[in-house]
Amino acid sequence: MKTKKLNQQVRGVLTIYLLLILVFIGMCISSESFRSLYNITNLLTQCVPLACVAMGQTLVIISGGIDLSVGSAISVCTAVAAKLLNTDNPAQIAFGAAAVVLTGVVVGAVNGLGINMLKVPPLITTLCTSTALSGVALWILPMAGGKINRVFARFVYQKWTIVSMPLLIMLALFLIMRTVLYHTRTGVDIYAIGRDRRIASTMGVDARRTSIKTYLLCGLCAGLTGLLLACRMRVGDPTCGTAYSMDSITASVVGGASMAGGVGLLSGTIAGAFLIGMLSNIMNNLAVNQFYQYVLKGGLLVVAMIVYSISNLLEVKRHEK
Amino acid sequence: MENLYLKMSGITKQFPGVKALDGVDFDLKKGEIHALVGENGAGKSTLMNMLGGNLKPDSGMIELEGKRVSISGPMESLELGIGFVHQESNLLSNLTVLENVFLAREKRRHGTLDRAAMRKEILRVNERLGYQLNPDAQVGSLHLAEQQCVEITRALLSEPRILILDEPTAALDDSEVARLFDIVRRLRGEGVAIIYISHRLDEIFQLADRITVLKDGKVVGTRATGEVTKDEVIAMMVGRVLEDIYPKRDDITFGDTLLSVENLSIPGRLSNVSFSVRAGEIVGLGGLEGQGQRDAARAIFGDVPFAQGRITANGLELKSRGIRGRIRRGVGYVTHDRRGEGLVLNESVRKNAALASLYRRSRLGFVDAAAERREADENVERMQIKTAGLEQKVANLSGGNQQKVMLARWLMTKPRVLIIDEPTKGVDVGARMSVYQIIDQLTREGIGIIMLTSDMMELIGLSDRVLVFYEGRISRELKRGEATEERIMRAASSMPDE
Repeated sequence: MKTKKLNQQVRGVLTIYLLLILVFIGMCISSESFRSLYNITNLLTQCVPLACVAMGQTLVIISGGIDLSVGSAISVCTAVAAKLLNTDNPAQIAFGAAAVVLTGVVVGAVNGLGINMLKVPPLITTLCTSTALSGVALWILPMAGGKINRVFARFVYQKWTIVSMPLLIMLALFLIMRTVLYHTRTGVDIYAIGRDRRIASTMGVDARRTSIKTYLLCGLCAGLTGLLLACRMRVGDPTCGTAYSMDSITASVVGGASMAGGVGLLSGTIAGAFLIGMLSNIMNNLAVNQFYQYVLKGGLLVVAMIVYSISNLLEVKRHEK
Repeated sequence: MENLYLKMSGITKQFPGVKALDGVDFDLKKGEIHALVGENGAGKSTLMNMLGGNLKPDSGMIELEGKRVSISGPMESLELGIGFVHQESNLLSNLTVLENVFLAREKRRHGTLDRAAMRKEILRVNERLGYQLNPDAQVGSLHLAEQQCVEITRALLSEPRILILDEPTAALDDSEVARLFDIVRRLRGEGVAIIYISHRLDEIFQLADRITVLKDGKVVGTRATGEVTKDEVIAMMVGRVLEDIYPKRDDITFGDTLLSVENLSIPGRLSNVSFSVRAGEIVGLGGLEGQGQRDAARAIFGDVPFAQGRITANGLELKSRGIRGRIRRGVGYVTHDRRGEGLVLNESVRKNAALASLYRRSRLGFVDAAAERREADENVERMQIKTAGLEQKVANLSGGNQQKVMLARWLMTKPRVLIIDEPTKGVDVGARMSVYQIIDQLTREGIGIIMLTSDMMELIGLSDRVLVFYEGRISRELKRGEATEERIMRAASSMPDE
């Protein structure tokens, strides 16, 4: 027995999936190069890094925060990967991969502690860490380079017709995050503090701890994304993550997360990420200039926000009647 | 006395400027409904917040079943078996009933939430109390009455021995009230001790076993319901001496009508409120808190849109919204929330005073700094604001002087009608008198004043006319001289005169 409001949210997510499928089918019909199996497999794989980092971002947004540092964190992670994964020793590779993900978690810890212990607003904290981290990335790796072990990179990016390893990794991450968000105390607490931190606290929620957890998980997602990207490029790139801060927020919002906190679904975020990925892919196929793509992504965020605020307004009006 | 559950003795609490509680004794027996009544600010909430763990007494003792306890937080209060259903909803609207009820106390199996078990538990309480809550419904989609059931369910979860209900019927209609009473009586039957706070004496006499009356932070008395009448309770609630700090206003003659309100309505908050203010008059809006006085004031000031009605100032009709238009028509509003929406605390006296009237002194977007300084200086002097200078930060001023800065700000807009919401909130007694004198002086210059206050003495002492609000309507209009504490109290709880 689901209720009105939840229905509305689920309906929203279904709408995005519908949109996704419509765009997909439309493109398949109109473009021959798009509908090739190669491109479709490619497309599905391309969207994975954004989907992974956006899931972490969604968690933070639901809790009422924002993480602008995921982009720089991803860059740092690829740089770390380029330094540590340039080896043929399997043990070192395993250790290196773990270290890359851990780097992301450490960034999350810094954000979470800064925001909750030093009481610096999320926007400021993560903007500062973002700027600092872009410096760190350049310090580790002044320019794109280094090397990722080929066997490992190939293993992470192996494809079987339409399914690929990154897709499976994303699925696994989704299942884990889903469990956390919908089936644990922490998950309920995240939604609770996102709606009203004070009320949640008076009801016994440890708001600080919950908030820190969201940033840690977000860092984890960013670390994993960094690892995936490094394996895709087979080199490190100190600036490759830049776009992900904004894109992950767009994916979350398109997927129905509210910047005011307390609302959002992971499945929506994944749909949002794939929509963004697909639009990029289409435009690359059509050889649209890169700067139009930026304009479109920015526009997408604004449009999504307008659509949601209007539908919320209508919902409120309906409720009043 | 082994059935005495709770004993509070000698509870004292001092807030800056006021003694909120002064040696209060209160006790609660097993399976009784004990009503707590008193005027606004009598100390009911303060006393209950000590049980709820939100406040700590300065001195005094709280004993639960003979054991002395100290309650340091809401969760601890809950663990001690005290359930608190707050007046305003304290729930998270984006979560489901189940999530709200069990928040921070979820049942788990293998580390994940055991929703089935929690659902069962809620249905069990449903059955026990005779209501139907869907555990998976979003709380935001529920009616207020249902939300209250959610709060009660949450409170009952830890099998409390004491349940505090703070104005539980304020937002309910008659049938919902009847159902709530049914639930409360069932709980009493199960041996739960209930503290019931309400200003509706009718309800209290229907429900309560005992009544304790608080006044000015002291207990006036505790009586069994059968042994007192409503009149006696009202007599216990009132009866203070009018202090001699209010200006004499018998000699004032009123001028033309400056502002009139006709049939003002806001769905659910105000219905058909009509009144007018004449030049030189102080109209006091009284009644218990949240009966629509503030909504009316805010609607007049254009801060809250109104659905129906007409507001005219100086013969011109004012639109439903728009503060800027109001200021230009000579309507001002001195807020009750000085720190939250009044002063810019980090800014200077001059800037704060100039804020509402900037438009008068600016040309093409540039402010005439010399005129600003001159006018601010004049008004600071006139208000007798004690400050080191115009550039002093307002954060460093006392409450009384801050309030005078607020008054100066609105005088600089050259108002015809000034709405003053809680004129002396957080103002000490000495400064209070000078605020009263300023208000008196303003009326003598032809300004009409609408005053909102929860201080009964202030309402009587200052108003030329008192309008008592009850549930969004004006339940009584009393002229100076007619307005007594008892009459206002009766009107405020919708009882006819004796």
